[in-house]
Amino acid sequence: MNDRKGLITANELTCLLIGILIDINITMTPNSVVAISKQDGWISMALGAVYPLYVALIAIYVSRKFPNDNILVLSKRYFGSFIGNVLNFLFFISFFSYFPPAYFNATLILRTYIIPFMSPFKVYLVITLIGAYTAYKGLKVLARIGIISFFLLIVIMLVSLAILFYGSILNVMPIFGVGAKDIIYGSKNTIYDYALFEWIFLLYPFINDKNKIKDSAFKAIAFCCFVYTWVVFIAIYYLGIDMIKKTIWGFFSATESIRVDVITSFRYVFVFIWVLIALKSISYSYYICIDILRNINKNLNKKLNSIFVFIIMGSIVIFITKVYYPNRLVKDEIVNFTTKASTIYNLFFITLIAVIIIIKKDDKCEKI
Amino acid sequence: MKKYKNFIFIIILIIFVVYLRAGEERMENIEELEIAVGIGYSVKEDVGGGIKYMLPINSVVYQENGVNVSTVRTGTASTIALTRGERQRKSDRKFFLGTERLYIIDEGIGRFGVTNTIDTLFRNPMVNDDGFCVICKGKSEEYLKYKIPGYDTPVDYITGMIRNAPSYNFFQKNYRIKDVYLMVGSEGRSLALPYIELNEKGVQITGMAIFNKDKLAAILDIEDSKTMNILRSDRGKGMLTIQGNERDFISYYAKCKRKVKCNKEGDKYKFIIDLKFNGDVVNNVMYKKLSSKVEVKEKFEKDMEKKIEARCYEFIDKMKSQHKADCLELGRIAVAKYGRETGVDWDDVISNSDIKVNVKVKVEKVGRGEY
Repeated sequence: MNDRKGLITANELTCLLIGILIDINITMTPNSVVAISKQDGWISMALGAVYPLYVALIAIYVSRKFPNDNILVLSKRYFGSFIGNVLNFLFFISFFSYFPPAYFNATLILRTYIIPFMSPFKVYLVITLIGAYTAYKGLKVLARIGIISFFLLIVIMLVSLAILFYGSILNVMPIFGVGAKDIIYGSKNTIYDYALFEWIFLLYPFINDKNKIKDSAFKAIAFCCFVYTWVVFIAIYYLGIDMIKKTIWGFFSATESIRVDVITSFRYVFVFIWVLIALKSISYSYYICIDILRNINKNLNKKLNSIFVFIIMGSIVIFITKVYYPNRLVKDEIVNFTTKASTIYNLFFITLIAVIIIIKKDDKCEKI
Repeated sequence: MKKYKNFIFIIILIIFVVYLRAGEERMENIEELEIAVGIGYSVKEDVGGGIKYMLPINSVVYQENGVNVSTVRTGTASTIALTRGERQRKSDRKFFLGTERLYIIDEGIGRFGVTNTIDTLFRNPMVNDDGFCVICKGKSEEYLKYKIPGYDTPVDYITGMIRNAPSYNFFQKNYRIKDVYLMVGSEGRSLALPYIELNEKGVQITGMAIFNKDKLAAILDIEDSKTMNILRSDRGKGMLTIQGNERDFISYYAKCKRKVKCNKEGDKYKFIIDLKFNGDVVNNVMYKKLSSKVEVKEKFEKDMEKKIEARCYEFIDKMKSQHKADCLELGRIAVAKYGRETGVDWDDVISNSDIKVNVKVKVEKVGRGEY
């Protein structure tokens, strides 16, 4: 590890967890939930928080039993080196599957709204350099970036309050109009947004006060759930469901309603903030992927510390994004599949570890 | 090697930045741009029977000597996007979009349908969504070419006119292009925009243009527009008058609040529109002792209520029988109560539904005295 000594505080853990959940993809969230749950999309969005909540509960249980071992160590301990590593590698793949879409989303938004003249490859390069360099600096730096982007998010939320003046509550009515079945069914579209909370299984060994893991996790989930619900609600409130279906980034279109007299185009300020948040998510992805790889093979640990590993990883990601994610429709299809697969695998993996810990309770006592 | 680490890093950074900038378009100086301030939309009947789009764009050129020149260039082509190339062929400068303040759509486009126009605007992230949108009589080019003394461009004048319209006649503030997107595209809503006319006296607002889906349904004169605005919007302000003869009249400047209730009986919808007026008497020779006697005041309120109610019913009848469009946006309220995406054509339903209007008039102040 880069920073075994540099432990993180409870607040930093909260910001890291918020950081991994909230990505620039949040601007597309209204579009994905409205497709099924219509004007009750925001209720679906709130219900979606069940998924990270489940992950958090298991993480709290596991962290109580083994406060200093992350899930990768545990899987190797229980399943042996080979099977353990295969499981860990699949865990890596499931995290990695969120990587190219993050690149793609950030680039597409940038190229649509502010820099249409830049070629995608150049934007990828810039993102890679910034993301990889930040990730190379280690967890403590990422945590501080998490805190910054937390405050940026609060700025965005406060600004979006102004939309309340322009929309109409009629757009959100009738509440519960689509029926409970569709609301619950619609919440399956929120998986992509609530995914990757599994990072907590790699983070808890680094926290300095082990008793505060529960607090941090719940705070992070509550905040993210609130932000997501608010974003979907305010988009429906201003645009209405028919209009959201016509947009690609529903939340962006909703914030277009805000008129600041001095600034002709408030959008530039807004997109700029979002880009910082997107860069943060990408640097987190870098850190996680390299971190899992380090854990898989202890011998590679030293070699993997160099900045070149990040550059190689970046090249691979750029290659995959360029070749397999050529446009938004193809990306959506791939993401639909990878999200399902990775969520199912992650849930299976963490549940499996938790079950084994429960079964082998006595074993553990003997060892200690 | 360690010594030169920073040096190498800086060199790599410089190479990287040069690579990023290489081959990209340079931004022009402001003096070399044509900055669009107003866009017009017209159709031109082709010889063969088809139509062509005619897009005049009023742009301002900021010259080095400080004088601003306003030019109008018109592009004519078979699609809206193709007019861009046509226009550029006539221009010596780079065209710059993003600061336009006015979109003038003329009747020709209105009758043909505004979907294409709005789609082109909505798709382009560079356009200014805060620009106002109006419907005009005749060709939009005339309005952009019209010279008004004291103004660089007619766009400034027309924009100011639309911006300040809400202080009278119950006009709304939501005639920006971003509101147009919402009004055309949402279920139960309908488009209504100010209608401007150019005559020998100059440019003026002469009414409202109402739309059925994306097609122009009718153009209302100013009296009908007033009534429609009262019934259509949640709040507005304007002048109302009762006139006996040319000497006896009373004027009342009021703010109006609207509340709509919707009920469904079988297949038929029933709407009750509650209008609450609250305002000041501005002049009065008709009702003697209005400011001192309660009975007189109540009588005036009753008379006013009756008058407004009669006008509202007259308009609603016209709307149901002639325009056949839901220009009061009642569908929006029904949708909010009985569910969305049921496949109902609200223009049809509202034309056949029962609409009741209740008016309450209140006099708040009478000024500083009675002469």
